[in-house]
Amino acid sequence: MRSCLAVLLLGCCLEAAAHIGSPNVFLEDNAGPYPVRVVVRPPQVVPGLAEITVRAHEPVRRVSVLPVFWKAGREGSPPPDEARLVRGETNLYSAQLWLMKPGAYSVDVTIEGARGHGTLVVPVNSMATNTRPMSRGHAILLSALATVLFLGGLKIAGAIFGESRLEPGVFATRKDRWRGRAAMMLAAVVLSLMLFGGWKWWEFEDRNYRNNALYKPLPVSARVRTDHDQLILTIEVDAAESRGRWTPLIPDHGKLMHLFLVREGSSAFAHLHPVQRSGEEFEVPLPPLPAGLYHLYADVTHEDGFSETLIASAEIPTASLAMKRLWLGNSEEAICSVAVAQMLATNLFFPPDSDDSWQMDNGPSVSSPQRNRLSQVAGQQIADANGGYQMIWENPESMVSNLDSSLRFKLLMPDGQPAPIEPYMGMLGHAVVRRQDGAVFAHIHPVGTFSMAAQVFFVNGKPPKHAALQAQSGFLTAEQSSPGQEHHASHTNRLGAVGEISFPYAFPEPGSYRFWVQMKSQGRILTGVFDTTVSATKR
Amino acid sequence: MNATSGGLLALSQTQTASAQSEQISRSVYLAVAGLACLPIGLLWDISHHSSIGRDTFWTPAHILIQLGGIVPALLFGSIALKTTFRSAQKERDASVSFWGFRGPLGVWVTVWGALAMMTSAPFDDWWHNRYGLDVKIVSPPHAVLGLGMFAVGMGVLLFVFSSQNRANSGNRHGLLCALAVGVMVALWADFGTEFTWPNLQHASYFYSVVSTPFPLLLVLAARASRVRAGATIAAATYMLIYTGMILVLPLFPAQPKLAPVYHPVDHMVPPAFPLLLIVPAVAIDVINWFLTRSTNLANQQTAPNTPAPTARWWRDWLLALLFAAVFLSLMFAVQWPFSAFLLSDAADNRFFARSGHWPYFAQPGEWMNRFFDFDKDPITPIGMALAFLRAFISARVGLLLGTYLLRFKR
Repeated sequence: MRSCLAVLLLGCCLEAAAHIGSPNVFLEDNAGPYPVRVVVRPPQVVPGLAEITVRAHEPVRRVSVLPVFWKAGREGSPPPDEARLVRGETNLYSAQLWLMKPGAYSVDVTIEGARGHGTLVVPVNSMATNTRPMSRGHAILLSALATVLFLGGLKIAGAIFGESRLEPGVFATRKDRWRGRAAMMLAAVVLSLMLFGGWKWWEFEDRNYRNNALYKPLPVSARVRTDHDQLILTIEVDAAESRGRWTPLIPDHGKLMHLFLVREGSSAFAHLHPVQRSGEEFEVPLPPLPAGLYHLYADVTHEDGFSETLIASAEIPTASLAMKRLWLGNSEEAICSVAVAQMLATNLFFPPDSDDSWQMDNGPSVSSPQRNRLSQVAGQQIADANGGYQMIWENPESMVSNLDSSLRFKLLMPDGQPAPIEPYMGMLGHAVVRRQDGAVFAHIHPVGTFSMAAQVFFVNGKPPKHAALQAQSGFLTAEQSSPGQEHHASHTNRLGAVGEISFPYAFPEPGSYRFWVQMKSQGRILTGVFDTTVSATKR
Repeated sequence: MNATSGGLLALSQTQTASAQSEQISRSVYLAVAGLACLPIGLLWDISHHSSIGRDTFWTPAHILIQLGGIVPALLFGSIALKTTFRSAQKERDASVSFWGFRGPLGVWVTVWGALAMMTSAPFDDWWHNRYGLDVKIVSPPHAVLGLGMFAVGMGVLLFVFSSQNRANSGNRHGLLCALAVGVMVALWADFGTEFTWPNLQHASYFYSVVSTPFPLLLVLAARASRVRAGATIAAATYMLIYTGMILVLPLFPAQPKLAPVYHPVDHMVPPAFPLLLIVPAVAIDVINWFLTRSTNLANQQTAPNTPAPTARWWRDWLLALLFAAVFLSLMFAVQWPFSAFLLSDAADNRFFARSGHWPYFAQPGEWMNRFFDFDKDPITPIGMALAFLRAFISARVGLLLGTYLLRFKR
């Protein structure tokens, strides 16, 4: 039996990027021998200026930045720009770069110092997102100037057809004066028509910008059906409406799509990896999540290095009792582990990806005073990560929008000892940040907020076609064949003491946020849920 | 109009013959030199954007453009203040009033144009922040800038022609007037760059574009400047400015500073070779000379105390038809084969510059040496009729404006 249970599409015009409403790129990694932290603030219009700041963790001689457009490559790049040391700082550099075309760019950051030089590739999306109207001050200034020009134009027209026609020294007759006035009236009509024509032209350009230049999320629909008693989620991109923007994808952490489901009210969360069934259609088996309306965020990276988040929503029904028992066993908790994945692979018609994980209603985190057996330091948030594991947010205090910071987390085993952290899809951790109203969404890692696949693309060039084909067929596993594995290895080798990781990020807007932090330990994928309120930047 | 156009033609040539050695005011030279900053600065700026890409408000090209507005505006502002507060009655008599001030009409038109240019700056800045830096010439803020430049140019023309008419002298004033019109031709050509590339010259639209401003300016130069070959001098001025820039700009090394760079250039990119406007300009001058000669002969054959014969009211309409037909047919006859030459290997040199005008962000390819829109917008009778209509209106306005400028003394 096959029944279509829900169909819904969402075409919200949110300020979107590889994330939603969170366009800035944060990266913390090594440029050769030098550990650095790079922040790229892409422009809101194209062409526009990207702001780049580079903080080296040790004294260096020179920092340079180079924009690389995906289509032109490094041979199509201008000479690099030298970043300037920020006044009063010893190791903080800043630069500006023009991004001239919409699409995928990378900013190559090169550090030179006593230990030689090294380069770090930072993928950046270049796209127009600006919809701000003209400020009041600007409008008043331009209106005043336009008024003076209009009145001046009338006066000049009057002079051309009146006084200027006379021989020097001759006084204007009544007829001359009336001719001048008639010319002024005619000029008023002509100038008004010119203003009207200019206004219409401006409207045309604005419409053209909104329709053709302004970034819009690709139209996506999502539906849930039941097949062999399993709930299957289908995501379909409307390629006809995508105006040629739907191009083949490249795998990120070995997956073509990272799908995040957030239940309305944020009480359940899943991180799944759909399989591409056709060019535009993806399918994934659903774990037994609580029924309800879910917001879907699907991170994909195109073959040109452009990464984006597709958004949709879907009504998910209650799973059958048999399925719940199969997925959860006798446990009340959602246990996402290699063992569970292997068991499901043998028992299900459509088994989940071994890296799929989910989390259900294990409640908001609590503050440290209530759990002071775990930590003596005030101002921490502690989340129950299931199985007796505790996840601690070490610095949740006074979050301010647009303040570049590191969100630090610690994972403790049931005995209170720091847990050994294993790579989860090549990363020591994954975090998903969402503002409660859905206007901000970001998928971040300890090395930053960018797409690893895009970084690999800009380091190695396009991946071999068979890799993409394998991934499209669903045969590519997390640790298999991904050209980014060497990069992942470098990320995981450098970062994190046992039981502790951090994420470089700045909340882009004030508001109430919930975020989910995922780490893997002893074969289990553990998810902690945290809440915070971000206040506006003080000006 | 009180005087007939035939009479004006005779007046023009009679005054040319009686040349005087009156000094041309330095302010006239300065005004024309200031105006010349505009087309030269624009060509330099287009080259900068095509070769280097990245710029600031203070690039030399931008400063030159600003000088094109500032020099005439300051010069004329001082003239207005002097005329209002300190001048002799003679100078006040040769001025017009404007909101309580007095000054020559050209002064006010130029000041208005400079204000429009100033207005375009905050508008353009906002436009860049709202829609992105525009990589095209024609946009609303640029149209305001262009309108301002055009007004500055018209103001300078009014000033120069009024000076010519008051001085009642001949060739030197006339030459300066024709030069000023030539600078205006170059200014219009700058704004029409995107529509007049050699690759577009086999498409119908090209002939409509060139038939809009150029007949007006060439006919104006022929009628109003008191020099024998006004249109030819104006067209030659335009072509000299362009060929000068073609020869000079590539002497300076340059490197693109924006990505993507598809076309690695190592020098300042020159403009495309100018239109051969000199050909229709010569024809317009010959027609004008022939008509003037006929009128003079008719005047000489008239008895001494008999009033000069008045020309029919429709004479300038017929003349506009003739100028339009001559302009369009000669442009077609010349540009059609010449554009094929410009896209051929034979034009691949420093002088003709072939496809050397393409910017660093254009992907090199065979398309650079092919005609565009050949299939989409072919030459059709309707297309050419529209171009002729434009040329006719343009020539008629040029005759009207020329007649006005020939009599204009304030």
